[in-house]
Amino acid sequence: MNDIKTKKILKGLYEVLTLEDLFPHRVRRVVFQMFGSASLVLIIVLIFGGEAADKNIKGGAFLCISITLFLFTLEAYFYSTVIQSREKFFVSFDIGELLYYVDDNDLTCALLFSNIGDLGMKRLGYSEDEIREFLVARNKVPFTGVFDSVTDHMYAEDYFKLIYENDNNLRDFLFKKGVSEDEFIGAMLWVVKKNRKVIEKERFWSKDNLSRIGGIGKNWSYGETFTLDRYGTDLTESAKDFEPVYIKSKEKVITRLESVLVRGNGSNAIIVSDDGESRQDVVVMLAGLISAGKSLVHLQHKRVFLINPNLIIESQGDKISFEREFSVMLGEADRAENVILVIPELTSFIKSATTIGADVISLIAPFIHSPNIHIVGLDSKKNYYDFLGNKNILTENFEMIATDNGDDSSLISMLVEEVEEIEKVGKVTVTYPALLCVVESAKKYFEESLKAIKSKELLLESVGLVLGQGRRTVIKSDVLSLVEAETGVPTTAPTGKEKEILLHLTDLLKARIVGQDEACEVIGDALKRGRAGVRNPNKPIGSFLFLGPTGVGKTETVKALADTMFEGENNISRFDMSEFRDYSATERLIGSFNTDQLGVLSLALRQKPYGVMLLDEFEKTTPEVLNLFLRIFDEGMFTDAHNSKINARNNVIIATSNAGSEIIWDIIRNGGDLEKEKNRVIDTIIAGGIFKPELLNRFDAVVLFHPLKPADLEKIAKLMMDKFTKRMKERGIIVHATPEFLSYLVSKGNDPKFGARPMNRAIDDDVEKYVADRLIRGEIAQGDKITFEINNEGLFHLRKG
Amino acid sequence: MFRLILSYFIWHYTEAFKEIYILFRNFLEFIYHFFSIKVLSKTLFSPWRKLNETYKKGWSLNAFFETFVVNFIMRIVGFFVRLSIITAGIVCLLIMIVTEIFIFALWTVLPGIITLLFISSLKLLI
Repeated sequence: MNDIKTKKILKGLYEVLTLEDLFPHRVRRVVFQMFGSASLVLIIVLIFGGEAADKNIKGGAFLCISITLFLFTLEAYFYSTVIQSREKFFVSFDIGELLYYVDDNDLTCALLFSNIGDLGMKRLGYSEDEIREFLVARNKVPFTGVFDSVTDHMYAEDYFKLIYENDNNLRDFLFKKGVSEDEFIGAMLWVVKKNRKVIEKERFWSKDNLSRIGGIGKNWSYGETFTLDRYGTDLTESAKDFEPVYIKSKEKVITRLESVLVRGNGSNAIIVSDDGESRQDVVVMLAGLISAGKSLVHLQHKRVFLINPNLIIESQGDKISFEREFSVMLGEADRAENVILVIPELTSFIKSATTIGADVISLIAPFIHSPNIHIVGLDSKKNYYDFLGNKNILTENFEMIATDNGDDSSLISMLVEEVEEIEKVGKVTVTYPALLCVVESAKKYFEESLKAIKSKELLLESVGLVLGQGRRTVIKSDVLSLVEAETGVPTTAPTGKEKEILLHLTDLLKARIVGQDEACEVIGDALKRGRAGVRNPNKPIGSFLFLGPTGVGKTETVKALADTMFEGENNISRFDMSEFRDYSATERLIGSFNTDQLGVLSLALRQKPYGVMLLDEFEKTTPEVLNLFLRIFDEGMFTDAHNSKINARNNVIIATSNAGSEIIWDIIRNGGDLEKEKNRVIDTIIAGGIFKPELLNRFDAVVLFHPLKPADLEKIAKLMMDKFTKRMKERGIIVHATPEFLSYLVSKGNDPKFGARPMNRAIDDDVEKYVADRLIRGEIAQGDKITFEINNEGLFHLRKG
Repeated sequence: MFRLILSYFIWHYTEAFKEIYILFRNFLEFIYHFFSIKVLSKTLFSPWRKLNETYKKGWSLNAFFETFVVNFIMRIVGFFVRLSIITAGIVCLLIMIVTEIFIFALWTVLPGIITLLFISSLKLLI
């Protein structure tokens, strides 16, 4: 006997746990069914056998019936105690079962040896051998006194938390595999809930199970809705097959919605939330309550219909057909007298209908005051305040109900159901961290898709991927690899070449960018933080403003970064912001609803979700566009004209500007230190009204680019010649340049106002053009060796050999 | 073992009666909802599936009677179908109430019945 068994914690459960130990429920059920069937057969034989029935048959029948009844009473006792234990006792039956087998107060050992622990750890990706090794090697933790403070029911979640918090060895063991506390508790709860569902299913007489059986003639008193059936889903009917998860935090919102819907004429609502799932969850849960008979009496027998507005518009195409079909649908729903019509994304629907010339609001208007139909619109808070809130007919007749963003619990529960189905069919196991990763990835990398749909897709694709590789367990890294393949965004920890590049990124950039060490350092640091996963995930990888005169390497830095980290300059989304300085600038960037045009910015981010975005001459665009970018720097995303969320969180955004060049020049001319005078430069830019302080504050760093010194120009000349030499070598021509020739290039290209640009031109004119002429004339051919040098008169010439 | 037997008997004569009462309440509610007794009673004279014709505008005795007859038939059909379901529901409710009383009585003596059946079976078999 150990401490725990004698404690109050098992009060009310100890006896049934003894029964379970002696004669488990699953064995009792089988024996009960066997004797029950035998009793039936023998009773039939007795009835039809009449007087002729043998004494042994009678004896057998009595024996079978007595055993069946005995087992029946035991089962009734078992079910009654199990259900009561979930709230009335200190712990539920499943947790009691874990405690019953505890030795030396070692809760961890009892958990890991149990069915719950075994299946739970498998859900976390552990093998039996790993667990055995851990149990052998660990120091036992005596959980003495941990239940002393328990005065009320302890939920399963709290029990697993208690084990996790009190056992350092277990924590370390889980930590080594990257399993967090939430994942550990979630995996154990998954098994507990699955076991409970089995018991629930066996109790066919429970109120929940009985209320799921549909009734006769409920629809006889209500009208048919043939048109509505074509364009909508009856959520009340769906709830019978798949019980929606009841999210506790939504209780108030649902009660409010119920009270709005039952208050009489004009009982309509608009549910608004920031994310699409939250508002839909509310109506799905209302349908669940109605279906389970737990809603307000006036709402019983109502059918919650979620329509697909796009389907109506697309299938009808023109104004007249759409208006006729939509009116017929509303008319039917009104006559049916039991429809709660849910219109998702109300603003989009109204605007889409406008494109074919139809006015949805005036079509809805005749039904708004009808007591026979309720209309519930769903939309985002932004759309409500920008658009719907300005329509008097809607504000007067629709109650606005705001709901907060939901957590992922409903989505996870839904996926758990999916996983169990997939596992049955595919003979595969999906670990709990993989499941959480699916939800997390859908949120993080596919902002424009609906979380629920994308999660399901990712789950199925991950299973397909693993089965294709001949494996049977889907782990977190499988999901991450899939996401990486789909988006191009690196999701796994950097390894191999990428790791080496990251470690030496600053030096690699410095080798290419001459005289701009600060810029190289801030970018190198931002990228390292981004890939190490320690940055703020709700912002772009980095956002920088490069200020400085022309030709000092601002754009070259961006190119160097793309070359080094993002597989080449092709992954730069380049915008010349001087092209976005008119009234249509924002529309061209984020698209237009009226012309159905996609925005160039939305398109670029969709095509290159992971890369560098270069915003050249940033100061030249309009204040509206600057505000748009302010939001992007702040939140890492924006909503385009088509109401899609566009994700910029996996981009490095670099804006360049010549603003402040004059003062940078002044500082350098007067021998000042640019770093120390940085605030003066920024203040001048703000005072000049070029950028607002709030915008400048949103950048991760404002980097000042130094004007180039003669020594820098020499290095650049060498770098440029090296590039040219490399290109020529690929054509089979060896090029050499003497130091005198490099000095000649520097002297020719030395115009402080334009930085390295004149030198670039000098190479174009004096080197490339010169070689090109001779190549065409046939004076230079493949295999030749040429040297650029300066003759005695100070002019350059080209010497063969 | 003794604790188990004692606990069982305490449950059998206390909690179990409450459970049986709740169980029958669930079944009664189920029958009430399954046969839609409330909804069908409230709409006993409504047209069958809301199928009724609207009276045409203008004065025409023929048209008026046509519509009247169609609507009347719809209501009559609705009335009889609903009445039959309500009746079946009420019969089921009554059966359930009688069963409930019987089960309560049986539960009280069930331990005795099991023992008796078991002893009788042994006597017959041995």
